[in-house]
Amino acid sequence: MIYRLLFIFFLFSSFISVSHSSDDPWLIIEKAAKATKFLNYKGVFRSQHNKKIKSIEITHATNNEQEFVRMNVLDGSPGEVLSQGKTTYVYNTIEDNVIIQKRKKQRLFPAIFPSNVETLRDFYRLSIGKTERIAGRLSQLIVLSPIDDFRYFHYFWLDRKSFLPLKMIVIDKNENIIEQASFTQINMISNKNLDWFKPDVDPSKNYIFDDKIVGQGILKNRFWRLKKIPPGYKEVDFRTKRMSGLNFLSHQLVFSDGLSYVSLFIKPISRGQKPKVGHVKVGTNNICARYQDGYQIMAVGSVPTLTCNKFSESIEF
Amino acid sequence: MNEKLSSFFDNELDSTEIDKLLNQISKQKKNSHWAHYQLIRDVIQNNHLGSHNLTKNIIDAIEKEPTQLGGFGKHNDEPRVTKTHYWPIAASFAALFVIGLTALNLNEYKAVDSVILVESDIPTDLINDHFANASSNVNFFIQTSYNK
Repeated sequence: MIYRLLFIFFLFSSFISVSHSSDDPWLIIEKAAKATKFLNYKGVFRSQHNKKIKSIEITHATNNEQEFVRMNVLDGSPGEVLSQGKTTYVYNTIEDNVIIQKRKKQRLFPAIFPSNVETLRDFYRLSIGKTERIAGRLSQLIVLSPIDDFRYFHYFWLDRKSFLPLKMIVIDKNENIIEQASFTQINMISNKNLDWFKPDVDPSKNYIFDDKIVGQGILKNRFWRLKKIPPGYKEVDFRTKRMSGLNFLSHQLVFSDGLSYVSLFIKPISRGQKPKVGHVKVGTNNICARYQDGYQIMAVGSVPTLTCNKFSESIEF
Repeated sequence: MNEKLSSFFDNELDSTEIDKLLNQISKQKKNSHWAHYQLIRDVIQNNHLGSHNLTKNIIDAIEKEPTQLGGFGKHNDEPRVTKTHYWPIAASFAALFVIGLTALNLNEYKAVDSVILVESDIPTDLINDHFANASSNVNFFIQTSYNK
């Protein structure tokens, strides 16, 4: 009996030591998530989604535990993102106007990892790849492979010294590139001055604040039910918008598994309008449409077709 | 004979001639002539009230009218409580109306013609709204739902 208890104690203590040891490969993801939050850096990266490629300058600093981020689009029409804490403003220049929109803070490259890595463990396998040089810095390749067909493969190159993600590629099971981003230059900054945290104001432009959102957050009294959404995906955002010129509301639910995002739109069909059904692929985005009980349901996302279809079929009234 | 009939209706015969004429009519069965001359006299003297078959025609027309359902109203001296007998009927009609209306609405939904989704059908707002809430640096800058 004593030997049995000793054996169980030994087994239990060894399990704890393994799960907390520095050998746990998932710790490197946690370190990367912290690096994107606490490091002060400035750099330029190229971001590609579908056929769009843009160079973006990013400056990031943490002051009194509050994050400050400024992104500038360097190619084409000017665009800026200013983010302080959980508040984000996007400045888009359209001809003579600069449109300002308030948005919920999203996980944008390089800060793409969720704060809670546990959400990834259940649906991705982590493997360590070879060392490569990215933007003049040594990096370690980390591969997150999905355990099912509801998500894509994610490749990350993390800075060997700071664990900051320097490069990211998302591919499908046929190795088609869905999205990629990679620093071309990056420098750590020690100056805590926040003078850079302000938009470039052009006096010749009209600045217009645009916010048509009438509801935001998690809706309590919803008139639909969700059934059998793909495993691992959780609702992370909800938005309601009044349709222009019409007296009804369009709802958008945003789901994420920690890395991928899907929007589910629920919109009433107006009289005389024919609802759409079926599936279409626009670039790397899948769009799945379904009609039920007077409502047009559409799922949109850079996710596999299976995931898109599952979401469009998940709504019932 | 016809001349005498005409003179009779014009009051141009004396009593003896009238008696002779009536005897002859009864013997010769001149009833139709009699009726015709009587009609002519009434029309000339503005005393004609209509066809001699008028009553019969009216009765025939009434018989051709459809039978009236429900009969005639009853007198108010009946007890008021008897009117409640109609409420179940009215309620049944109301229930049928609601069920019918619901069925019509359901049929309207079921009968809606849907079309296969194509790329050109996808609203720009829809894509932009998704990009504005998804983790992609390039698309995050896309303007959402702004109309001048």
